[in-house]
Amino acid sequence: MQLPRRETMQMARLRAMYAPVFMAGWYLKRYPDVVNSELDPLDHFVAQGEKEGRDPSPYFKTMWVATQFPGRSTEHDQDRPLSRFLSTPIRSGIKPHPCIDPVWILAQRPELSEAAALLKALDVDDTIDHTSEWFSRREYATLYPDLANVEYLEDHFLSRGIVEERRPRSSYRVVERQEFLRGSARACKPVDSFAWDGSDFVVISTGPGKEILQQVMSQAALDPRICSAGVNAIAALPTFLATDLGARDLIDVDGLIRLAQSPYDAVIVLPGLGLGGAEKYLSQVAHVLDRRLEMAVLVLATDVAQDQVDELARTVRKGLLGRVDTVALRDLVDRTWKADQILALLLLAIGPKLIIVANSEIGFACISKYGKALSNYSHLVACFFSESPFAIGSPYSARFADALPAGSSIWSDNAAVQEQLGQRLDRASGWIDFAVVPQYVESADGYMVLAEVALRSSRWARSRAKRVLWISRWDRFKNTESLKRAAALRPTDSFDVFGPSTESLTSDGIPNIKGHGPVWDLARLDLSEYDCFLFTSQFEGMPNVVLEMVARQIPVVAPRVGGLTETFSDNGITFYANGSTQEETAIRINAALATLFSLEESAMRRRCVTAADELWERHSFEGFVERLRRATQDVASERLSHG
Amino acid sequence: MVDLTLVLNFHAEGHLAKVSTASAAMAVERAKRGGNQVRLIAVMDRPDELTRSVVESHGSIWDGILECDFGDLGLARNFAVDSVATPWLCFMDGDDLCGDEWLVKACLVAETEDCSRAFLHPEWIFYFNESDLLNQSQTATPRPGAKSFYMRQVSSTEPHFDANVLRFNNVYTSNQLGLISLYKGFPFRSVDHVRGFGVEDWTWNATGLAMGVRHLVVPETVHLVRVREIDSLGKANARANLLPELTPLPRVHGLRV
Repeated sequence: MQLPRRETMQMARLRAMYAPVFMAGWYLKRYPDVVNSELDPLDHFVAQGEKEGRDPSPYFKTMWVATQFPGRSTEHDQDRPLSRFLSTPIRSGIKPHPCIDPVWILAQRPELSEAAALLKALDVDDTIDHTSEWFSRREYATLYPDLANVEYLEDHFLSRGIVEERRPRSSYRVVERQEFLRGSARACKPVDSFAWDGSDFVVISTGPGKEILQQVMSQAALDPRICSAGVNAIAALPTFLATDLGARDLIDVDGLIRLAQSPYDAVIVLPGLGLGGAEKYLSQVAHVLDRRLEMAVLVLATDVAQDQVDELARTVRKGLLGRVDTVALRDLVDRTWKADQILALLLLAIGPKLIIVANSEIGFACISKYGKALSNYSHLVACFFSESPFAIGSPYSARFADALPAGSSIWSDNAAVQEQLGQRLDRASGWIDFAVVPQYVESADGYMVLAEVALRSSRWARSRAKRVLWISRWDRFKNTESLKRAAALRPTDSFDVFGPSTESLTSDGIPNIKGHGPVWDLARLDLSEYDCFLFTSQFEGMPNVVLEMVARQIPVVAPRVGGLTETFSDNGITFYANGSTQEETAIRINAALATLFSLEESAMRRRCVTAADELWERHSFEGFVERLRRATQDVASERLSHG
Repeated sequence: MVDLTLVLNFHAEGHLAKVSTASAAMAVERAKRGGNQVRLIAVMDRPDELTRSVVESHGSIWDGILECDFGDLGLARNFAVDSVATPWLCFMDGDDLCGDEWLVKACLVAETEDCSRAFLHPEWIFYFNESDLLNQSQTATPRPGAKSFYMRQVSSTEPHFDANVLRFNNVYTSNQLGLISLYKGFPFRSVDHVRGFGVEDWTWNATGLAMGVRHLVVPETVHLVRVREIDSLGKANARANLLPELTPLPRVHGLRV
């Protein structure tokens, strides 16, 4: 093909212009299809490669450079980014490659004042290290030893390094603009930005600039401990934006601020919303504060994630927590080492009238450490349900009860634990206020109860082999060893065991015990087949399960523990006393069961009715509301908040 | 030209007081060469023997050595505010160091910005943790677990600044420069052990922000804060379980100052 003379002349001019910076070997390797063309690589680039957006060398990104020349200039430079670059003064700021800043290089190497000389030097001058403020060939290679055989480091960084989240220098990162605007990269100073491959990137300095480092190092002459982390590493130490507490303190500050804005009257801090008695009790408290005492309530769960909180609030506690806000504190401060302080700051910001804590390590640490400050604006309530030298539960009261600030309250569902606490806390001084607020029990379905009682009664006299129901958590504090021994003493009876950890129960040579796993909804458990409910435990507060069984009018055998005798008499529940050994307790359980099963059917029914009467006397919903009203009356009248 | 007093607060810094004094003296010299009048004053609040000895042994450096008996950093700062005679005052803790450029650049900003309701802070804080000596890196990459770090302070006038963040941590260190008249309008609070409140600089920053005081950072300046395993003010506050009194912060989402 014969080119017109004018075009031939232009081609020749461009060829001469490009020759010093064109890398033929690289071009052929980069574009293998050129090998099959009959054209010399440079001729190919001049004739068509440049117009197709191909690069003449790894140091010049044709398409990218074109975007820096938004308007068309002279006709002969049309679609010729390399020509335009070579004809433009370096000081104009046009870059041949995102990693290469000619102005910056020129400041270090004044002799490279011509664009062509600069592009050439990038290939042949081994002394060129930094190609921009933020790209250093030596640092990039040193940071990533796997790049030892990579020839063109700027190109590698652009094509792979960014995606692989490599750093162009130890103290710089290249992040997508979205991350810069929203993520922890906000802490860093942006030093450059560019668009590449359809994405917008920001180059950030992850450390302070050279001037700051110089000032730091000048102080190191006074005290070398300034360089404790290592004099070479000092530039690459972590950088935080003071206001970015997400990065600095590992907390979700936006979430905390949102919560802090909300005008809650009461905040309840507990570990979760699971099946535990304390969690159920506090759910009842939340429900009544919300519905009957018209307080805006926030439940903060410290030990579970938000999805678990949402699920449990929707299912297990759905009737109680319908309107109450339930938030997982763990999602907001889980990663920080000072969760108790952050919780205190959150509570200080909310300024509720009431702060109620139960069973939460973080919650108790918070009010015992920072209670003095919090009590200026909020009434603090610690809930303790049981205390025993053996006990789960007792560590909280043992560790935190005497650290409560003056004017705080201790609530519990039974008087027994308060008497125990009163042995070492000074009640007379009024430093701590004690209140017993027994939980309420929901009425069982009347028809179901009638049917269950009728079936049980009809079977009572004729069946000598009894079925015993046991529901609790299967651990040694629940006297499970005594239970097993009691079952062994009563081989004709069968024992159905429900509760966490019972699903994998082995018989241990006691075939009349059968494990069933946890019960998620006691109301749906058919009790008609059972002749009695047996409760075993070394110590207790006020066990919910006993109350709920009494409400179902099933005969109950239980130890004299916790607050049970505050509610029930011997005419309602068949009590036994725990022995000093497991064996002794087992014998007493066996005796109590024998006593119960020896009763006439009518006497058995009278006991159930008596127990139910005693239950409603002390554990009615209205009674609970009234007790809570009294317990909160000092704080309910006026908002103590500082808002 | 700014007429300024740099106050160094001492209590129980011991030998560290010598380094801080030298650092402050360098910054003062640099600021003087920049055409400013700068006085260097030591305020010792219940100093221990060693600290007093170290401070007094540098008698020629000081334009004044003042002593008070509060045992309370907030009250010692107020004492300094009441004692200095210059229109401008800058604080520095007696175990910190300041970059050479801090004072001279802050004076330039003080001359050009309206600081009638603004305090100036260095842009960068370098927290150097001496425990890193046992975990020192020999390369350009810090060892995992290094505790030293940089923190960049931001002006309260920046668009993304939300004063509510102070509810959960302090975002300005106590080495600030401002007009005496402004300090007098916002005295520091003493630690209130009875009510459980302390952390005087956090409370002071929150109070000022709520009252419309601006905090401006001076670009390309740095302050160096020593993080000590023992005897640091922060650890003392932590031991005493004190909280900042943040009640002045209004309950407004997205508060901008």
